Amino acid sequence: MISLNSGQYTYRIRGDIASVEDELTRLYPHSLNHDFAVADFDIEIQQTSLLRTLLRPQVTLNIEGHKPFNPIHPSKLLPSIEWAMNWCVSAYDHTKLLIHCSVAVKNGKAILFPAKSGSGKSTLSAYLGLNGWHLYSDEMAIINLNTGYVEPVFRPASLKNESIEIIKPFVQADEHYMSRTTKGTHKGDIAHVRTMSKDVFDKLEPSKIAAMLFLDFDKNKRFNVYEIDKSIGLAKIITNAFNYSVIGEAAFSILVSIVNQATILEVSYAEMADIKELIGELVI
Amino acid sequence: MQTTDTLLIHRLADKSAFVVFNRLNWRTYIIGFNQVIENLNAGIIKSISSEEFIALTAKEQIETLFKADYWDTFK
Repeated sequence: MISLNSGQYTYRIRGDIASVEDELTRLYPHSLNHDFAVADFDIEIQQTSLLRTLLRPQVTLNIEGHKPFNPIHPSKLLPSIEWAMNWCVSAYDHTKLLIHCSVAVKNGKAILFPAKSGSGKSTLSAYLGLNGWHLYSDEMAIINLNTGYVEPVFRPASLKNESIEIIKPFVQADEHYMSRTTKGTHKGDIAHVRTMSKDVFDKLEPSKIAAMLFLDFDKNKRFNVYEIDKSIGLAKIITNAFNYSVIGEAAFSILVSIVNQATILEVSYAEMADIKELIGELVI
Repeated sequence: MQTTDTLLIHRLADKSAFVVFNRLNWRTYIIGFNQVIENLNAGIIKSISSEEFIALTAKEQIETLFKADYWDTFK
């Protein structure tokens, strides 16, 4: 059993973690503990039956008493634990507004990248995190309902398929680490990248949301930026919220406030360098 | 912003829309500003012209629409 502290949340991970413990230690330095600790969420790795173990080994993740994911081969455990950690937060934490997006911060100003899968948000956010920005989250914006500020979590970015090779050259500093690649998950090949040290993370503060960028990555498209109406931005951000309909009025009020103060852009791009320059201007 | 027991209403900062949250059914409505203007031009609210309406503050616009029972649709 280990206890994993992501800054915002603590997870107790039980079961046979021997195959992933080394990687977890590298992805979450100074954040794992083998002693019993009170945890926000419980994730148990369970073996399937003995016969199946002999014929075709599989494990399931029992998360807070639920099994939301299909059984997996033990070699695919690392990304599954990461997805389970995401699931815990999105399913249970309704004290914060949770929006499906990545969050990059510079100069105390946060930029949200809400986007559908394949838009390049994880690639971009990992790139930014490895190039002078702070990656507050690769998966969801955790927004304080009183302040409207986005709060950081100490979690790695998740990279898929060709994004892994795109990002690998930027993993250079001691505080960076890229995990081994897990091949053949239902999302393709997956690797995780840590973009900062625990010391740097511990100094991060909640940040005001300065902008929201709705990304459209296409190798064949020209770089285009459009400012969109706040009404469209609000509608889009609501559809990306995990728990808007659970929180209700407080979520409505804080989102209206955020949308009113933020720059909202739609961006189609083919080169990360183009977008890096654009967003640099948004946080001056 | 305007509130009633049932509704919470804002006009967005760029004046692109009014947004309404219904406290009873927890639904959110986004009503384009242009749609309101079209409604005014169509004579749905007779007490004010669209030109006069545009000149009002957000609070005054929402109140004017209250007086015309415009928000009842969202209750």
